[in-house]
Amino acid sequence: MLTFASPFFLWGLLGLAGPVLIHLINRDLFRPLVFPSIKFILRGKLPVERKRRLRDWLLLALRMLLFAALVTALARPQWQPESALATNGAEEGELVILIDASASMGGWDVWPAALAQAEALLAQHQPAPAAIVVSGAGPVALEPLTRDYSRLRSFLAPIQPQPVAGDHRESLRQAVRLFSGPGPATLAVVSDFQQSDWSPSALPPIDPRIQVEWLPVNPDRRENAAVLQARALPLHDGRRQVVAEIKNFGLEPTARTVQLRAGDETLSRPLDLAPGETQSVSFILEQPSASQAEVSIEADAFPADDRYFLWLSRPPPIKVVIVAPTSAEPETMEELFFLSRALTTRTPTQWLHFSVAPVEPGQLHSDLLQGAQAVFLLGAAPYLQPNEWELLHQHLAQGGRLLFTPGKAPARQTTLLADQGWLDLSYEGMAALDRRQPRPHSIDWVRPDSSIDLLFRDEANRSLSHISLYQYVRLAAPGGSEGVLLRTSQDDPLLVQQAVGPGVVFATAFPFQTSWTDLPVSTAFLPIIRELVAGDLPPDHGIVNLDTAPALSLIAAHLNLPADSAALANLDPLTPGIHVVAGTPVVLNTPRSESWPAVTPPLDLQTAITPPSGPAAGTAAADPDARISLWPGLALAALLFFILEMPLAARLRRQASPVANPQASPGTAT
Amino acid sequence: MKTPAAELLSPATLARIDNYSLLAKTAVEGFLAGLHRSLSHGTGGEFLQYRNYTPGDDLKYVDWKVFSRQNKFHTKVFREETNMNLSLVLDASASLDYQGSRAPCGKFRYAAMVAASLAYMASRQGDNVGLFLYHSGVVQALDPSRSPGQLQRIFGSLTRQTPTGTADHARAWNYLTGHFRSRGMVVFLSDFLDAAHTLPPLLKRIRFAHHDCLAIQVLDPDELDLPFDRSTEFIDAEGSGRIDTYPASVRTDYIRSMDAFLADLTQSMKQSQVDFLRLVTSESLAAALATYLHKRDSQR
Repeated sequence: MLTFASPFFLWGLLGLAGPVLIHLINRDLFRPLVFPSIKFILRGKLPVERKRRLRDWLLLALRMLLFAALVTALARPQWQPESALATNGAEEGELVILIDASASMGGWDVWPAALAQAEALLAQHQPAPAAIVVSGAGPVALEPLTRDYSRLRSFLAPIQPQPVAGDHRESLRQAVRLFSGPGPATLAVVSDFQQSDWSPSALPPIDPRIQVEWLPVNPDRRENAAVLQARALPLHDGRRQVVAEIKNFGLEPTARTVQLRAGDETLSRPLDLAPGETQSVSFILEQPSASQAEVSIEADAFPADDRYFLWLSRPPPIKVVIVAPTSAEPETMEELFFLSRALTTRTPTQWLHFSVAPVEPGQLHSDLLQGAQAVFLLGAAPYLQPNEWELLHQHLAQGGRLLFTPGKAPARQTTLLADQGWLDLSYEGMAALDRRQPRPHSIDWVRPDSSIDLLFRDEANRSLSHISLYQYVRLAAPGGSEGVLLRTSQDDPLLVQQAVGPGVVFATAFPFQTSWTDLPVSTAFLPIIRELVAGDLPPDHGIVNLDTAPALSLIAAHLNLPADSAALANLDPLTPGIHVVAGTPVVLNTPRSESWPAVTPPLDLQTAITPPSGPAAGTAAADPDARISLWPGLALAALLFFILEMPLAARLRRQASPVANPQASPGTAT
Repeated sequence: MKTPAAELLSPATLARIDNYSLLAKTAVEGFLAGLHRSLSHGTGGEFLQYRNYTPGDDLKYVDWKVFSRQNKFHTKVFREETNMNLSLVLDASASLDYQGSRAPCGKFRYAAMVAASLAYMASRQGDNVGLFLYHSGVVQALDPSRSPGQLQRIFGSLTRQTPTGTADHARAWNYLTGHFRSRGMVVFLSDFLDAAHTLPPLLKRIRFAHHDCLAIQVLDPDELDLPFDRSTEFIDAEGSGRIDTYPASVRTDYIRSMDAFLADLTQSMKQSQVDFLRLVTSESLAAALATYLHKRDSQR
């Protein structure tokens, strides 16, 4: 099979028409000449001398061959022997149409244009084999290669864009896999090439044998405003503040009315938006009865981003498990009391709240740890069973937190933690009050820029330094002081942390007992404990805010539920709205990334899918070693034609020169 | 370095000289120098000048008195006393307005250069010189004269004249035949095209009037071999039509016809007792001057 590395040079072959036209025109064009006398000039036609005519045409043919050989050599032709090609495919080309059915294709009347484009491609390609891949957030549906075009059309007719963000990597891979033969393969991609969906860096390389045609159906996005996001904040007296962000993506100023619906209550705000402007709108709901709300604006050319759902109520509590050996060590009752009080106290202006589950060592089980954010072990390490250690490892692997306080056997606990590979600490004894100078110890150092330092940066540092420590366990961290958050004036670690996978392990040098420290009764206790439990959690933790997804499994993964869970039975992942799944609010909204008007140039996409060292598009695929470059031969042929042309042209020029007249003898007198 | 005489007589050299006076002087001096011949203008009559002795000069013209004083040989030159009339007749029709790619000048320009050179030479030798130009009629008539400004008038007429119109030889020569009174020499310059049978009888009448006649035919090299290789529409310069042809296909016939015409013309001239000289515009003027001198010497 003959292929060309630079086929665009072949357009130069059109230049062959030039010499032929000039040759034909010149033969019939009479040049006027004023001559002294035409008495002896006869009317004559083109020379009928056959040899001369033959030479004329031979010269023309040589020059055309020379030109054609040069142009063809520049196109770098390659010959792929038939034996090197697979033999199971047809010679005619195959066409796979990949249609973008992401959310952005659902507005601005783009979808009908995309269908028309696909129909035009099919009409142009018929009756060769064709296939269709519909791509949303991955492949949505596909129809394999077929010559039955009515089947392709009926397959495509009912499909509508999905309210999902586009992700076309897998779709492209599947589309490429549909090609079955070694013949010409064309992959036509019909899309608006919205930038968030078509990131060049995310695209897979595509076999250069396949010619990819990027067919944009760019919408006119002059008119579109969107509710980018909305969130609810708790206020005093049970009120809720809803803040929504509205953006005008259009090129013209627009006036919109923002509406908040929460149960029976509806609030509205007029809004004037300049082109590209984003404004925040705030609503105050007095004693809202509904737990769900919807912020909307008037529907426009892209209605998918004109509504935004939000959860209005307080999210479910964060679960904390406290393991306290109250039977073996009754002192831990006091710790349990202070911890429970600190965690269960509700603040009116904070969404986060906690539920406490106290257990004795030996009572830990997986159901109890299910959904728990943190586990406090109040001197309980020496009492834990091996399976409980395993559960704690699993808890850390899921991003949970563990906090160990020393009990009656701090040395034993330190060894156990080191055995688990969590905290490389060594027990150095107890630090008690100095009998000669009975001044309590204090917290003298907070790791700069740690979460606790940020929490008490202003006046709380002072309040931390006022906290008295009457005794504590002296720990040494031979691995360094990287994980130390708090230190005493003697430079002894008081609070140590270590990241274990996605989880974090904390250990204190003192229990939360008033005989050891007055921290539990200080105002700093509550923020410190909450920071240790939920320092990196968002304010709306517990509310699952998701983009509409093509599959339930994606939502189930966020909820740590199996995809076939009965709790997900009534949930449609493609429908924006609010669902409560196993007590967890799940808010689905159309992805706002689809609203952005920026598009990726097809040239960037073509560059991204071209393998770095691969041959240019249009070259044969199967075995690169089997290809034979023909351009050196053509160059030699051009040289040969040139060598032949030169003497022939010179000979013709000589024959065209005037004939000497031997009979005329000028300058002779009679 | 002196310019070779042959080059001085080359039309390629002379065509670059606009001034006919200078042109004629250049041609004639160059020609005479090339002949290695004494500038003896005659033995009798008025003393003109001395010049250096040249081997071959007659010793009777050596001035011995000068030799005795200067110990150098000087030859005396006398202005020859003559009453010979030279009438230059030029065909100024449009057919002479042609210059091929191989010729340094057009046919009329070449004829004018020849005429100017002859006029200068004749004037230098003391002859009366006149000029007559015609195409459809006589457009310039300067009767032979030795007046001081005659030569400049001749040169001026040649400069101003451009070839145009259709030649009416019979009409012109009827006028000229009656005009030439005293004996003399008539030099006629034309291309003689379409006049192979009309001109010889007319010139024969000149001979009958006891005039010497020299007919000079001026042709362009293109007229001899039709060298063109492209399809050409030939337009007759004197308006007798046009013809489309492919020269390569008719060249042989053309050359054959042209040769027959030239042979016929030569024969007619011979029968009319008219000296005939054919010049091609790429050739030297020497032949024209030599023929003129030869005829003049024979008349003396």
